[in-house]
Amino acid sequence: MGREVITIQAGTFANYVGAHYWNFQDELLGLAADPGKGYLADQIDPTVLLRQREDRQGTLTYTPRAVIFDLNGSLGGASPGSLAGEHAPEPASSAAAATWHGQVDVHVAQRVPRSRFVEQLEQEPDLDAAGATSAESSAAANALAAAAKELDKQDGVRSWTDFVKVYFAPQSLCLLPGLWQGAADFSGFGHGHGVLARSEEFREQALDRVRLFAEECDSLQGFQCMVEDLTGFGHFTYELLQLLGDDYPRSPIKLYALRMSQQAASPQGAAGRQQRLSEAASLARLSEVSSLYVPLAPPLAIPCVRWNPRSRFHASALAACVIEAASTPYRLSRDPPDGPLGAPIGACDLGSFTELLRPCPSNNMVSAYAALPCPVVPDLHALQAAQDARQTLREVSAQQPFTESHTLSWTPRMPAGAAEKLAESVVLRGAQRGGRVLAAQEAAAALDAALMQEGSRCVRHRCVAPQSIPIPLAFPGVFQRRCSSPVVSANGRAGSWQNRAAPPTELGGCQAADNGILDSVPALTRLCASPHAAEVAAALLQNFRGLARSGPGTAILQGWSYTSDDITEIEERLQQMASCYDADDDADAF
Amino acid sequence: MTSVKTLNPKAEVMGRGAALFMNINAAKGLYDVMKSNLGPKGTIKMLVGGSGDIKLTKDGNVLLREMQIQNPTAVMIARTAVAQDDITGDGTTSTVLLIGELMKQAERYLNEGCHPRVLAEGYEHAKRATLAFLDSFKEKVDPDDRELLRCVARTSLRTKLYEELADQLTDIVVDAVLTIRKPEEAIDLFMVELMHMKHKLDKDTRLIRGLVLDHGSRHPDMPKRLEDAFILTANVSLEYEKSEVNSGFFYSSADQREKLVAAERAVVDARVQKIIDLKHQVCTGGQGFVVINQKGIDPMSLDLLAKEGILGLRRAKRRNMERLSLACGGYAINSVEELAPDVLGHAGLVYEHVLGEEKYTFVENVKNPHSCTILIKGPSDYTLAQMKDAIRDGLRAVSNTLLDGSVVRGAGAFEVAAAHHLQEVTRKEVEGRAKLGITAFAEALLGIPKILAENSGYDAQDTIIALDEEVARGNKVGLDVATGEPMDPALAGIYDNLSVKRQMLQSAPVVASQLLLVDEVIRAHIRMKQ
Repeated sequence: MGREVITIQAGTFANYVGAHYWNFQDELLGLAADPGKGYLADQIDPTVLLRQREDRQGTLTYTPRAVIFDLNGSLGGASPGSLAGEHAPEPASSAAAATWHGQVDVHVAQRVPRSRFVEQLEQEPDLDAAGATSAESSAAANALAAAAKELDKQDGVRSWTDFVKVYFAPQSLCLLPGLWQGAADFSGFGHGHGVLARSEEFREQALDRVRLFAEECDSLQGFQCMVEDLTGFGHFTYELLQLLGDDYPRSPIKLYALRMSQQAASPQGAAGRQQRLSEAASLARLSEVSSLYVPLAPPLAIPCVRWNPRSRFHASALAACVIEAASTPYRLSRDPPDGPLGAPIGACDLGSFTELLRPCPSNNMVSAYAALPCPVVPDLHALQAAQDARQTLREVSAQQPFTESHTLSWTPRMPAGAAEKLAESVVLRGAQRGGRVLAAQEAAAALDAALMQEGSRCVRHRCVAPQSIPIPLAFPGVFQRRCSSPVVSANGRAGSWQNRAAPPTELGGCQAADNGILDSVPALTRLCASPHAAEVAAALLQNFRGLARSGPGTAILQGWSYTSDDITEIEERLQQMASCYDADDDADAF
Repeated sequence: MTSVKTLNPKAEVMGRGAALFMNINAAKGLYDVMKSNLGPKGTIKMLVGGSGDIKLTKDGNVLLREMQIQNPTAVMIARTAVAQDDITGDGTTSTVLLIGELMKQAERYLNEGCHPRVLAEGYEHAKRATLAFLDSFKEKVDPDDRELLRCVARTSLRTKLYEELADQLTDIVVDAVLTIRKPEEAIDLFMVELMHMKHKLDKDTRLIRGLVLDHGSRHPDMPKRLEDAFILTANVSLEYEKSEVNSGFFYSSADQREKLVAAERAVVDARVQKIIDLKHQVCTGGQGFVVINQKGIDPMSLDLLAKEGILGLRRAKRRNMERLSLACGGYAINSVEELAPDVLGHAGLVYEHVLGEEKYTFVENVKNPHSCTILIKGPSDYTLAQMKDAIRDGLRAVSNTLLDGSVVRGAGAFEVAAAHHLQEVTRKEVEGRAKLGITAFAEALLGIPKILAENSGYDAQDTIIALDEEVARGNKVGLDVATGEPMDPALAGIYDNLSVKRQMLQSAPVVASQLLLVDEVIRAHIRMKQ
């Protein structure tokens, strides 16, 4: 039985998502220390994602088992050293050049400011050590909360290092040599072509980072990748995963292709062409080297959520919530502590998880649906009544089951409605009714009833855990306590959100702490394998074919240094993905 | 102005004069940055990043990588220089400087109304003449002449590290290359592993005839030190894995599931047992046994191995599998069916070294080392990084020498002699305007010893005149950076690589000519997203 999971993050936006994701893990560790309700957080095993180390004082420290790839200059005011919890080296004096006795030229770049949140966070340990009084520590806590609020302002976050609150292992961080943020054109999928192939040294270094973590694992479950796939990191990840496939042939790889938002229409002109080519190339290439390929982008209008689609901080926070919930099944503790709310249901390992969601091996694209925050779970009796009504009257009841009423598609090009499904993994975290968290058994019963009411049947795995998603301080205020349905204006611009005078829908869900700061959110996520994926592949293939034969498209592909072989390979792969369900249909007909 | 404007009204067009000016300025800009780097008396550059992180370098290649170059001309020059490093491992700074000098000289003549085409022709002619001269100037070396290899390594290292450290590393670098050298085979420098430990002082760096692995055993009962040990290198999974059928969720009963798990476990146990059997077969007189596996070994397998006193290492670097069989003999197996006594390698000593949280395993005293490790030690990350760069360049320099079979006298000796040759011989062979280009080329070559003199604190003109006079007398002389006087580089043991010089002479004039012949610079106005 595999246990440990290694996370690979590639790209700036992916690292934003990762930073939120690790903040959630840190929050869960904090909750687990609570004697009363701690058992809930403890039901999710921290050692699956985090590596445990004992420091000299004998206290346990956790660092993410993650390999993080980014461009030079994308770390803002943080250095690889400071992210690993080391103190920054003193400003250079000539004496520091121990290897050279001649003259020293010192070039100092302008100091990049860090967010007040991170600075406040660094001061904290000093307070502990000095035996601070409670007044002092509460003052520090207030200052930290105030600094966290500043993050949500305009330009409050300049880099993902501005809000991440965990320390990373020194070998986690890996910057692509010679590629600088802003200086290098890395905006299309193919710009990552050859980054690994060119430099033997970097290739070995990148693989070594993964190997160092793998060596520590007693039994590796597999990999989860977060990739900013429409930029050069897409092709970079393709090359990396190809190499990893040789060393870890049987480890499943679950890959999230992350995008900022689901745009209504792709931009015009060169940028739009490049994006369409990138999207097709990403589906063809990355799905080939991964076990599950999950494109993920927050929908523009989410009930009860107010967010700015232009803000990386916002978009990444939402995406991280979905990944956090969807990754629950393979992170549950094997021997979960029990409590009044019961033990979680539906633990499985990553290998089984990927096998389930891959009914057709040649098309492993999986679509994500989520209700975030999850609506209030109705009473079992009400569900039963609805079910009965439906059976007796033979008509679709007016009220949708809660698993559908607020569930949106988080995968671009996938329709939200009840598309035909072949297999599905449903995760319900922290379900609530009437302001209290439901016990696992109770929530599972409600979930089963609602799924039954939906009518469509497929292979299904469900996982229910009473622990909701804990919201850390450094999280944008996107979730509304009391809300009406938000409306996005036609142009989808930032700041154009309006509250139309609609009757407030009861979503409740979100729990606020005493001081009014939101501290947790329930979530429902569904990852589905659906025949519709073939249609997506067909649409992208058509786009790609059209563009690859046009002048501007060819220019872009040449800019990526793609040869005609590469283009044929991509087309063939998309063709295969588009037609993989055709054979099945024929078989059914007979 | 041009037809481009009709096609794309937003295009920006720069005429020849402005384009030339832009190119020359870009070349000079890079030249100014890199100038102070050159030579054993150059300046080391310390780069402090926006977050206070430090990079220390005297290597032109590293410097180019760290600069966020955006000017297209500068990018072109930088790419040429980086290609130089890829091919030869050194000479990045010299290439940038030579391009800069060629552009500077060209500027002088252009200001006097000379056509760029004339200069380009002259450069081309001079390039061929200099390359021909280089072949007559080089000196054949005996590949077994250790002293000469030491000179080459020292010359390279002394431009990157302070003298005592450079001298100490010289032997390490030469010995490393000689260790991995096999007759009739190309040298693969990847068979020298560079391992760094943040520990002690830079002078504790040493050569290990064997291998250092950056991981240790994962079982408390495994031996920490083994003498006279057999080494088994394997690429076999010793981990319980789920079978490949879609068995994830679909068992008909719990009993069936248990049986499946037990069956899988039995397969892995059988593999481990085969290794243990081999151990019993070969270890008759108390020898040790080490398994180094590229794939995983799970705790139960580790336990079985530990009970037999076998040291098991998992997830070894792929490259190390190759290195191990070169160092210890034997070869890596891909399935347990291949197990036989002759696949085993042998090492005199295998021991574990713990440093803070890190574990290292040393495999030493090996039979026929054709792979070795340079263990770099230093007090801080940036000194380690700088030493690593310097050692890598030193290794390249030694292997280049063996590959070329020749060396070139250093300290600017070649440049002075070549300039003299161009002025006195080549210039008289050609007729007409091309003479201008040849003179400019000769002047540009002299730029390198000039910078060497300037960096060492001597007057550039005086030095060049003194050197030129000596050359006119028929001596091969270079600049003594300690005294500022001419001296024979052969006596001081200063030798450069032939391939480095040749590559530099081939690429720099081509780039310079291309930049000079630019007629127009057009920036097509493509609206980007931002």
